[in-house]
Amino acid sequence: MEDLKSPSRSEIEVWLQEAVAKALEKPVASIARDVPLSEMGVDSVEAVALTGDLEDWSGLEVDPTLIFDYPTINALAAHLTAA
Amino acid sequence: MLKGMKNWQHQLAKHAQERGSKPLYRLLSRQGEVSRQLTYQEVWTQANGMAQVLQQHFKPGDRLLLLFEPDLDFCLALWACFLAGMVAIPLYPPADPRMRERFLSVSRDAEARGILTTAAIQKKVRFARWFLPVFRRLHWLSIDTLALPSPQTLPDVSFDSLALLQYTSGSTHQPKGVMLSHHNFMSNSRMLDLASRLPGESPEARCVSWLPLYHDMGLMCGVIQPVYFGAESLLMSPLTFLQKPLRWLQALSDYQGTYSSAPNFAYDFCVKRITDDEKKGLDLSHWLFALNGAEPIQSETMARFTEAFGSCGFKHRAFFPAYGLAESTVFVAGGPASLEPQTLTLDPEALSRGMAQASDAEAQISLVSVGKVWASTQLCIVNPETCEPVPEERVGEIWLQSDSVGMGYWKQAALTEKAFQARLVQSEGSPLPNTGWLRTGDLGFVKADNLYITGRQKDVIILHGENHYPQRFERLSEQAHPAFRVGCNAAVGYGVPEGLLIVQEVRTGTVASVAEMEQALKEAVSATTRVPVEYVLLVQAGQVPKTSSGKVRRSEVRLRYQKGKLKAWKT
Repeated sequence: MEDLKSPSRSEIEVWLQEAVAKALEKPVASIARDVPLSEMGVDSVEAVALTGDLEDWSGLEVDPTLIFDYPTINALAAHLTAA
Repeated sequence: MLKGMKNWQHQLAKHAQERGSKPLYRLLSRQGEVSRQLTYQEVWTQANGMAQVLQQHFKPGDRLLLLFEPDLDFCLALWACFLAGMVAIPLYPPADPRMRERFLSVSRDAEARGILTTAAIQKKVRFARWFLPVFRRLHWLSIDTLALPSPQTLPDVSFDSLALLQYTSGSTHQPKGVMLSHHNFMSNSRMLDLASRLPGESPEARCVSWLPLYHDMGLMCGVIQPVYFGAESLLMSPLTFLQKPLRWLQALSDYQGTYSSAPNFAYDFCVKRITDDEKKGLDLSHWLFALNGAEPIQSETMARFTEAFGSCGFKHRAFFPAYGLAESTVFVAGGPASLEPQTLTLDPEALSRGMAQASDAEAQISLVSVGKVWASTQLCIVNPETCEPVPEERVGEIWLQSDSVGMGYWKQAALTEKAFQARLVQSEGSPLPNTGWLRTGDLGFVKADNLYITGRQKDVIILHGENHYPQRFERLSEQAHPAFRVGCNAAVGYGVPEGLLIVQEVRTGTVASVAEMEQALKEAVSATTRVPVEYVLLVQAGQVPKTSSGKVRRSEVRLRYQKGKLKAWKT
């Protein structure tokens, strides 16, 4: 059995950056980690769906309302990996 | 009055007796498990006890705000209000900071006397600073901590009395509360029942709903209609669905759901986000009634959904395209459910002139029928300027009369008279009544007994199932950059699926770049509303058309944008 280790904060940040880039059809490099997703053009339906994908990928439980309380990539990744 | 129809107290009590320990409401967790359940007997006992407590604290007719997470407590509070004769006002959940302003304005407009909530929510919000001005005036009851007396027969609530104020979604500045009576809900339940009947022996109805309970469609389909039917209702939070739409279909599969309603976008969302692997575990063969409503209905969406989920046992004829509005409780037209959804292909040019003409040409518009109207409903398609009925296959405003039409807008006599008491201009001897019509503000036509919706007269922009009002976007846009002209812009819905288009006039002599200004506009609008600006066009001063009284003509803006007739701003 593979060791099911939770992803690190920086791994989550990279994953989120790629997922947002895909959702917005923009290059990964253009996705800022410290700007609220809504300001980059992610609507609330997409943002909540993103938390579902994040759950599948990370194996963590991600409450859908987190995206409203931690609206940037940095803030969300930090919250999910806080002890 | 509906003959032989008892009131809601009788309905609940009867089912409690007959169905007793069968579940009425079950709440599904994000993992798809039943996290809480209430039987018919429990709902009757608890709602009845709560109603007695309400009667100790409030007078009949008092307006009570229902402040709940999407949970079964909401259902109990609603029935307690119905049994006690208090007026329920469903509210958005408090978790969402965007809704604060709206919460406050609704509370003021309704002159609410109290708030029904849970101890957990009360603890969370009562010390919030934004909440204090409202909190001081209102009497709070946490319904989950009450000592409930045993049930007893309560004095009957008059069928014509006010049951609920349904605040129409979206606008924060001018909340409009539709006044719905006990009779309205009973009549509307009956119409939906008639429309959804299928030939042969129907299995036990089991509804699955993730729709917001505070919204007319979720309230009816998830909370009220099941009690009318004597059905079981499986509820989940809208966020649970939005996070993984598979959970909705999984619940229909796992619990053999027969009945579920959703706006058009939800069906597309499932097609887009559910993988082939995930489909393998789904059995949708029990799903007999898939209502599609509350948004413009796309025949392509339904075709894609059937193609994607036909292998899971989903049958295209389960689709039930429907039309409704809060002013008529919720349901107006749809069905009969036994027929396949009907689609017309029309000539767009003729349609823009108000005529529904079939077309074989390449450029055509597909319109899905929303079926027929039921029971006491009278439908008339009317020229909105002259108020005269128009012939079949001509587009006009949809006017209605029925027992489901509400009593008006709360404390808005002028608006009520205009919208609920319209007068039809017609020749003598017509079988239709002259007065008392509801103007829906929606446009459509009738062909062969079927109603088709062509557009909305109102300027509501519907994005992902949420109603947005253009004024808010316009105000944010004009303040986004100093070069923008104030009061000279328009926000409209554009494209399929509908996206937000903002056309903004720029001051002459501005030196800023188009890119800089577009960026500022998009950021300002999206930061506040969380809505992305799909299309933006900066135009020269005077390009946004207005009426003689200075109001922006939004539909004209959309038309000119589509035809490329707006002059773009250049340095």
